[in-house]
Amino acid sequence: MQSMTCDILIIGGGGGALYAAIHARDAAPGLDIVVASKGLFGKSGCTRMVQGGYNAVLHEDDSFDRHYDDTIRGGGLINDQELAWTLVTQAPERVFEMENAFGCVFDRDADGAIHQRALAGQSFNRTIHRGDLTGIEIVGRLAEQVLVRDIELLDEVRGVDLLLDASGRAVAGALLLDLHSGELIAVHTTAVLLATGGAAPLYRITAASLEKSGDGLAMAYRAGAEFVDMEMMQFHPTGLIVDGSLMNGTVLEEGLRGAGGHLLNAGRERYMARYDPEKMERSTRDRVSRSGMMEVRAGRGTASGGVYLDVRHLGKEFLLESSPGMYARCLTVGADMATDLIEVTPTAHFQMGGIRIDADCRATLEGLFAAGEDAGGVHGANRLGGNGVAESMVFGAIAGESIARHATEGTRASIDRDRLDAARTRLEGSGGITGRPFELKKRLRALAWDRLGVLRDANGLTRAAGEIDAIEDELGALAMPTRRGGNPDLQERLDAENLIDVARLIGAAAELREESRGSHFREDFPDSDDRFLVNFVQRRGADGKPRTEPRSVAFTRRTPEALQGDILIPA
Amino acid sequence: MAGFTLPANSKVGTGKMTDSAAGASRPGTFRIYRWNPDDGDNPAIDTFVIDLDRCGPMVLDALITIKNEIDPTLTFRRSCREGVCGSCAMNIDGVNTLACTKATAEVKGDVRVYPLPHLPVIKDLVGDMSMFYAQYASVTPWLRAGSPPPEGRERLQSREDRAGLDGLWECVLCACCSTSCPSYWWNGERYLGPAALLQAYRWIADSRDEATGERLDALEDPFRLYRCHTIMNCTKACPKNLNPAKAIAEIKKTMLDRR
Amino acid sequence: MVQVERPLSPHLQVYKPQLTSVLSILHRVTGVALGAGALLLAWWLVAAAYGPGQFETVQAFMASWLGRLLLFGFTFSLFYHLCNGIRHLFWDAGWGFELKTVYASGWLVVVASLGLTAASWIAGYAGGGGP
Repeated sequence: MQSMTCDILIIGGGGGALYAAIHARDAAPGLDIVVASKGLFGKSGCTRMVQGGYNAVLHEDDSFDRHYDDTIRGGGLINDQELAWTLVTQAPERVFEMENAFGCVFDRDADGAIHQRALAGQSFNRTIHRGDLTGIEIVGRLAEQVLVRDIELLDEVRGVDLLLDASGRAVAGALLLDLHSGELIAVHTTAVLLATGGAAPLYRITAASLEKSGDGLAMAYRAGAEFVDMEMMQFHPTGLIVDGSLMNGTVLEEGLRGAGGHLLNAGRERYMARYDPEKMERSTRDRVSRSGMMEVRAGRGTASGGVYLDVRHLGKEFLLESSPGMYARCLTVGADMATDLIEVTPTAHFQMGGIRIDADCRATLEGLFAAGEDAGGVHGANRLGGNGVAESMVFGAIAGESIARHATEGTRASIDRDRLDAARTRLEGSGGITGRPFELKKRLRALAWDRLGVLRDANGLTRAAGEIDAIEDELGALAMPTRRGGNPDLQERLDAENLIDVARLIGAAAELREESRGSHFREDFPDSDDRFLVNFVQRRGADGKPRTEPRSVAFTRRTPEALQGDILIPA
Repeated sequence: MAGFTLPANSKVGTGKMTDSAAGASRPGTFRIYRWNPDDGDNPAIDTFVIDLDRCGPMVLDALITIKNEIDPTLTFRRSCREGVCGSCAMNIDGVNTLACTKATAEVKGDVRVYPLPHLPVIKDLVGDMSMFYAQYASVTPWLRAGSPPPEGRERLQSREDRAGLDGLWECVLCACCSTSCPSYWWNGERYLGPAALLQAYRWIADSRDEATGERLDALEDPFRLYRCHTIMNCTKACPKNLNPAKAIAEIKKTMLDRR
Repeated sequence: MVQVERPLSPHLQVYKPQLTSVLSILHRVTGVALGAGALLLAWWLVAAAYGPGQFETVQAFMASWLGRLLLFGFTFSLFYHLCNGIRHLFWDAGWGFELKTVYASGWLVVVASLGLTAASWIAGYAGGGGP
């Protein structure tokens, strides 16, 4: 085992992690900053896959209040109101920083100013974008800013566990694993930022990048941090169906529906008329996803269990102009958007819930910080398109500054030897059976899709809890792969262990929320219920299972009454 | 001096053969470069036969199937699986490309899969990219503008100037181009290669950047830029259909213009 | 952990020959061939200056099948290098970088240089009945 000492350890490689590294470095030039990323530098995480864009109030006719109201309404009124306000009010600063200091260039209006369009659920054209491949531009520029600064990069190194001090309440470091050499690295540090991007790949069909596996969430869970809104997982309604392929579930962006694309069932019927006759395909993501699932369940889906996206009437020229990336992606799998129906399915896309943070991105353990999808609260029960990358940038920057402050002022706790040994022992495993962890991960993902997915009910959630236990037992009985370096088998095992923790958190909170709100839909409780204007807060109990309790939403800026009425959608 | 052959420790042998497609109507044969740092042996080509009807359409689908069902130690990089991150760049059927967007059906006969050419191999299909990244950083790929931006807003840029960056900003730094270039193979320590030069030109072409002079000065060198011999393998290889060779030519032209 | 020296991944051994690289390599090869051809030319001139005896020897060699082959190669090298050189001039001016154009111009260079070589030999035989 190697040892390493630094002031700040950032685990993650997407937009939130990179932004935090930049701001931490600028805020505290003297500190040692290390960024550990599971993938290659600048290629890891989901920010670079962002298509639609970035929401920010730039136009004089738009306002923070409008963006804020859209966000809270979209979030089913249970967002953390202070975090959401921070998102809205700081989003423009980050845009200007990315443009003026980092050199990003977004699409332009005729007058040379930034062009903005609207995604679903917005009352104003406020989404900044770079064609339909906005993430490439953002992450490319952020990566360069990290390169130019004195920041130590550990590529293809994953987080295994947080290391606590003897009190068990302060983070003193983390245990990392070099994917290629197989070396364990014990990092002794003053502060750790988790920005590993949530756990959307818990689901059989997902839009997220393949290396994600809820690492940050599971590390924080095992260390005893608090979670919030874990039942809230967003399903994007138009994931591409490519049977048997890893391309399955990759997102076809919302702009296609916004521009007038139709959704058809197998009988070529615009089924949204049944679910939201007024807004039809422009309804919110959660409703469109649900409607698609219901069509499939009612036997009106395609043979592969999806529905059709029809954009043929928009014309090839328009499609090539507005969505060149999506057009090319469909062509790769043999479908021409201009002449063919595209088979789509809801796909696990974004985790609203996560580690509970305060305004400075501090988690409930001393020395622990979280940002991006690993953090919860900003989006409530549902995230608006364009608010996700804004969150990563805004809270990445905040996390960077506040972790720098903490590392400058705070002292480095000492790593408790027993806990370090326990973390290493966990990696040795205790089972002796030979088997494939991948098979169990596959089963877990199928069960999450069926029971913790778009449509949920009490029966399924109860059964899920038992099935997760069974998978955990079977996984524990497998011998831990002995070869640590360059061994994907070991990675599958660690991924599966982490996803089990996340699945439990989601299941426990979903069981208690006996209503439907935002992305959480209970078939046995299809309506929203004001008694559930709460957030479920969770932490690990002594038996390893989550303890879940409701906490009332603090309506510090908007009361539910003030936000009656539905979201205005621009034509 | 250019090395046309492989050093002794890099000569490729024959590895094991696994046929798991008994009775399959559409068997597919994959010949995959393997090297394991732990056993001290030379690299070898392992052969896997799989049932293509039970596997997705892309080469990456096949690699994942082989890893999941036959050999869990097969190591390769992957992340976004939609051609956006550039992680799964490798040499497939003799050409550099992204495994996630390369359809198995496009390959005639056996599918030969190697790491990106002329890189130190870490394991199997994973090459060491550190020099590639260092070269990328050396072209100072960021906005260098001394004049302050307008207060509280973005620097304006006309649609035409912004369109001038099309074909440059989309690069995902997968290194397919640089590692397809014979000139880069043999002068890689001194020649920056197509990817880094395309990035250099991305900033030279940006109307907001004010460091064109310094950028050109840094490239005015017999190796860094001028080892490009317009072979055009880079443009042929680019999985995003960009044109690094043209970007390099534009730099050379800009060099001439300023003399 | 034992640190093993990492192998170098295969390059020339596995990369598919394609028009782009093949024509580029041919440009180099014909460049070298022109150098060698220049020596041949110099030998002929020197022999001519020396006297009829020496000149006859060289002439005889040039008329042999080996001599003709060398001369043919020299002619092709000359025309190929010339044509592809013109292609490079266009590139230097920033033209012709689209992949389609690259392929079209590549094939054009091949056809033109073969054509010019053939034409000059036909002309040579028709005019003087051989060297």
